[in-house]
Amino acid sequence: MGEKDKEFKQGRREFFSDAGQRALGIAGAVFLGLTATMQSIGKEISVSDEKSNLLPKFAGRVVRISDPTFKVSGNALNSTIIEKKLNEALKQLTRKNSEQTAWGEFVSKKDVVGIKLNCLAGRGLSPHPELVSAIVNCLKTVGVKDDNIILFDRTDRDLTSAGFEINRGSGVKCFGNNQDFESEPTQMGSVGSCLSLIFSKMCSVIINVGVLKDHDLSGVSVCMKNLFGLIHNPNKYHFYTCNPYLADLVSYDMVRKKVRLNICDSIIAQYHGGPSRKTQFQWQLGEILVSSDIVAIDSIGAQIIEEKRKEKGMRSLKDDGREPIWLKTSEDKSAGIADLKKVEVINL
Amino acid sequence: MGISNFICPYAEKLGKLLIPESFCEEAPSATKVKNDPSDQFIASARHWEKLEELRVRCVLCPKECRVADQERGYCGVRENHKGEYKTLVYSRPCSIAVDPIEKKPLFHFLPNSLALSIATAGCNMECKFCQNWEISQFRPEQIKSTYFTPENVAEAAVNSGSKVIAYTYTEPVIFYEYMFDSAICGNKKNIASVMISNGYIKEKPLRELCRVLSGIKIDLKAFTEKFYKEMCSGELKPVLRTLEILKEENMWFEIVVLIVPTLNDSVQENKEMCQWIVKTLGPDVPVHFSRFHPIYKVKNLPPTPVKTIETIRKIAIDEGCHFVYVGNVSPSEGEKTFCPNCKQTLISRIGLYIERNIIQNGQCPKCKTKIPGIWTESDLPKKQV
Repeated sequence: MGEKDKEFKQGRREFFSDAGQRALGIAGAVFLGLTATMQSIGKEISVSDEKSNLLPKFAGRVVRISDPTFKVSGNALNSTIIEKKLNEALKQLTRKNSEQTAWGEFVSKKDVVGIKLNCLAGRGLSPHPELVSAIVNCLKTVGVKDDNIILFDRTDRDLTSAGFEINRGSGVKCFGNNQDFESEPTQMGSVGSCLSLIFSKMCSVIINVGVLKDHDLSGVSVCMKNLFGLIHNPNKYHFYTCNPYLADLVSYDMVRKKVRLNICDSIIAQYHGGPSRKTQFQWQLGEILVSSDIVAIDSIGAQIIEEKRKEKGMRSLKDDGREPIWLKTSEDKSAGIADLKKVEVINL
Repeated sequence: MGISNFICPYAEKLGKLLIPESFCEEAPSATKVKNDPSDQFIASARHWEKLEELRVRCVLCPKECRVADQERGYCGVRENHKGEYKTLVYSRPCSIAVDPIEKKPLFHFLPNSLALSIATAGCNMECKFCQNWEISQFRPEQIKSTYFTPENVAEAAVNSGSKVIAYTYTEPVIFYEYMFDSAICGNKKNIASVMISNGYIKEKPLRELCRVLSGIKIDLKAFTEKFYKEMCSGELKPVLRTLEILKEENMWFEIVVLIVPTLNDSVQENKEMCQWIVKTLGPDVPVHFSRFHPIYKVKNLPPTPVKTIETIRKIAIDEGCHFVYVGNVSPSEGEKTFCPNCKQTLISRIGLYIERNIIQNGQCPKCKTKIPGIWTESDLPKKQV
């Protein structure tokens, strides 16, 4: 520190409208055993009501998609099959009869949709382009325009390493945060970071597409860890197994509001050696997880990894000193449901 | 564009950034990037250890980050590549400028000389009041930088008329390799090197650094672990150890304390700090108390009152510190250098500029008391080339 290298300039203050909390649907509230009451003037809101209003839509519900074609190694995946399965998953998740209304719970045709990928590990442990293509098709089917879909990650290089082609022109876009961050940091609990402009300014909805792998410091990287790509300084938030940093990030208003759907590419999963790719610890799980509850999907993901580690005779994440305690912290902040006893799993 | 073309014309504009727009790194659009331009900045890191399963442990600073393959340390500029730890900022400055040495601030080191000042992105702390957070708290790929080798650094210092190369603005510890090699290049051309640092570095790399540097300024953030933890994500104890090592190594160093209202401005704390300095380091270490201004994540506090700075300066003098200065306060008696014996005014300064300097042969001209410092180039110790 010490001296300034340039004159101090007053940064722009970005004021974001606080869209407030997202109401919990009646059906979801009953499922959780909470009493969702209508708010009336002067009525005292109980703590449980307050917390339930913060929970995501369809909290605690995770859909596990599988298909025989997902497990055939060496063959390209079939994007059409994935698209069909995703549509079915959305219907099951939302309990809607049509794809239009199911997807309509998360996006409208006016939305600009960012698809946040996790390409750190490169090809072989990044979201499959066929899956991403299927997601894009689903969005277009419900009316989202090509030009309003942005695939993004931290850098252009990360994206190209995973097999995605950079495009800043017309059509579905694909590019990294690179140097484009807000000019002032946003304080999100213990996390103080400049947000990616793709997230904060360009997109109204984020679909969070992670992969299923363990992580050397946080324990697992499923969907929550992928959101570290929305901030400029994730390297500052890896101590203490990323707790409470991950929980604080996903609890931030704008993140709650915009990150509407989480999809974990678990066609190939990895139970050890992450976050980078270690083929000797990978296996063909052959699944795709879908949930609007980022905590629940991560909880299920952590369970899958723990079961595999046990099967392989490896220490649990807890015994390895990297228990993902941020899951419980996130639940305490009403970002979602971590308790597996309360998570509803739908197998497709 | 040759180095001299863009350095020399700007040399007269002290303190201005010199990175030309044409040097900024931007990923090409709509193309596949095979060989990323940032690859040219990757070099082997020093001071790290191999661990099991391709992990590494960095032993450059007390954070001792354990880093898995493809991950980075806390500083954001060192990365594990399949079990080999790399620096991502070798020859990758984001700031190059020519400043007066007094701006560092170094008041007893070649006064009135120019310092070719250089920084890369990154830091191993996160001070919530960091003046240079827009470069210290960002990753190298997130900000503009240029390719500027250690040889370029030394040459630029010569061409700009600088007697000193200063590694500064962000935290030079984290660009250790670049700083170290640049210092050697500078030493070959009789250009001294100084480091402006938070002092958060482990002993071994610090002692090695002392072979190539001629002066160091340490930011002593506060005198409590609480402040270091809550406001800087750092620790006090290793920084105090750094100061002790600098004394053992006979390195010329000065201390700066940024006084933040309500957080580290208590009389008691600063009294204890000065007592420690005098007892452990000696009364001749120059100490600068600087005014805070709201910035970054601390915008809810007011600027430090001038009276607070003056009070703390008086405490330091009463506790036995011989050379106590004030920063970001001008004009002030605290900008002057006085003889600790006869109180003669030896150097008068206004801001960064020296009005008058009557030190002769490193002594007070009146009572002949030796005044500690590096006053001329002949005072510079021999350093590794």
